[in-house]
Amino acid sequence: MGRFDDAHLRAFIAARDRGDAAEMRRHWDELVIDFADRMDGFVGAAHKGRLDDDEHEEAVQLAMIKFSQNLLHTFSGISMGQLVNACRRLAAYVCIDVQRAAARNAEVSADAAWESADDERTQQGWEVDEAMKHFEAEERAADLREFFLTAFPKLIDSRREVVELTFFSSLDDAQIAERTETKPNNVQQRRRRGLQDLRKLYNEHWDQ
Amino acid sequence: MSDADKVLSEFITAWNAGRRPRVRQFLARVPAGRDRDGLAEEISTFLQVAPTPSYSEQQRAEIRESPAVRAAYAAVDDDAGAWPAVLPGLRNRAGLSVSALAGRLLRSVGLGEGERQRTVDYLERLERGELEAERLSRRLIRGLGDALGVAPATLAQLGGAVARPVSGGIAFRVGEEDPAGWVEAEIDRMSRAALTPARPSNEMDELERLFCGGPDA
Repeated sequence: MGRFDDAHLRAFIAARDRGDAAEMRRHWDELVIDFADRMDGFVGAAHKGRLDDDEHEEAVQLAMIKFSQNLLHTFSGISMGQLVNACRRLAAYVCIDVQRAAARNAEVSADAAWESADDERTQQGWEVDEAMKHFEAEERAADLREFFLTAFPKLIDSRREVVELTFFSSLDDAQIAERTETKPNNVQQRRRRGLQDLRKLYNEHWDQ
Repeated sequence: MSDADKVLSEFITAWNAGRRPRVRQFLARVPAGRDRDGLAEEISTFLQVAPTPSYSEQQRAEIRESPAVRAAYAAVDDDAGAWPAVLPGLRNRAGLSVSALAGRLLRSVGLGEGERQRTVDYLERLERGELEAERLSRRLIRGLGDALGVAPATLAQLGGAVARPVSGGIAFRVGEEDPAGWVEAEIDRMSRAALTPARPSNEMDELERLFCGGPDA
């Protein structure tokens, strides 16, 4: 990328490679600070002003906790571009989570009988199911990396190239189009089909 | 130049100058709807490639003290994790008293109303940071997620063995004033824990196992 000041990330990765935990920790501290405003911005942009101040602060807090934990435990990337992309996706995910909870709580507040409702679990069942899916997905994070390693080679070359650039670079569609010598429309089509293929492989993978 | 273009330009200038612009304030300057959504997308795209500003030491100290960053550090450093920093907010947003949360939790995990007061006590201790995050069970985290409307995966990140693999946990539990001494401190902590006879989980009742029995209880 070269556009970010990535000194802390480079130092963090170098320390991680050396197994130097104290240095890792020191640079992790600084990385968390480096990313705080960016995360706040991503969260604000993701909800586009639809969360109130308290909900926004909560979303930023949860996103930063998740970001810093992921950086610590599961981030295996090597570039700021990868980390920034992860940060953006995380902000979007947490915003959805907070918006969903806010919507649910609004419904619950309107329903004074919540505490005694017998059908409470049915009412919220789909959300619990969704939450459980997220939870299970988190627990499978390590396996997911293995899945990508085995799944990517199975994609048609043209789709794989676009999907890889989508996941692992910060190029926009125009740049991906230039890199893959095609038109932006084709990039979007290949990405959509590549993701559909990945989803199919993903389902097969977990059904085994 | 449209209003949105002007606002975007000002945001970029403020970011690059290290003035720490808040996206929400800039978005609020554009009418809600297509223009604001478009501006949000453009700011997000900018943030994907924007350099990290050169913050002053004072600014870094301010960021370090922000609730979000403090909670992120607590999730890794504190025995109680980020639970005391986050749980009261989640509960308040859900419009629940501790007692109401206890009621929801009991229903979610299938325990009777007779345990409500003890559950209240445990929840208050959790909010005060008096419970070890590593001893919280997955069942509790799922139950709280259910009760609060928050994804359990999000709660699992607040700290504890559920979120913290042993190697990572050890690697990052650093004494603030003596970074080099963290290994010794961690080994000492673990030794003390190992030497303290753990209360066998079969001696705990259901509620105690939920809050203190460890991830698999």
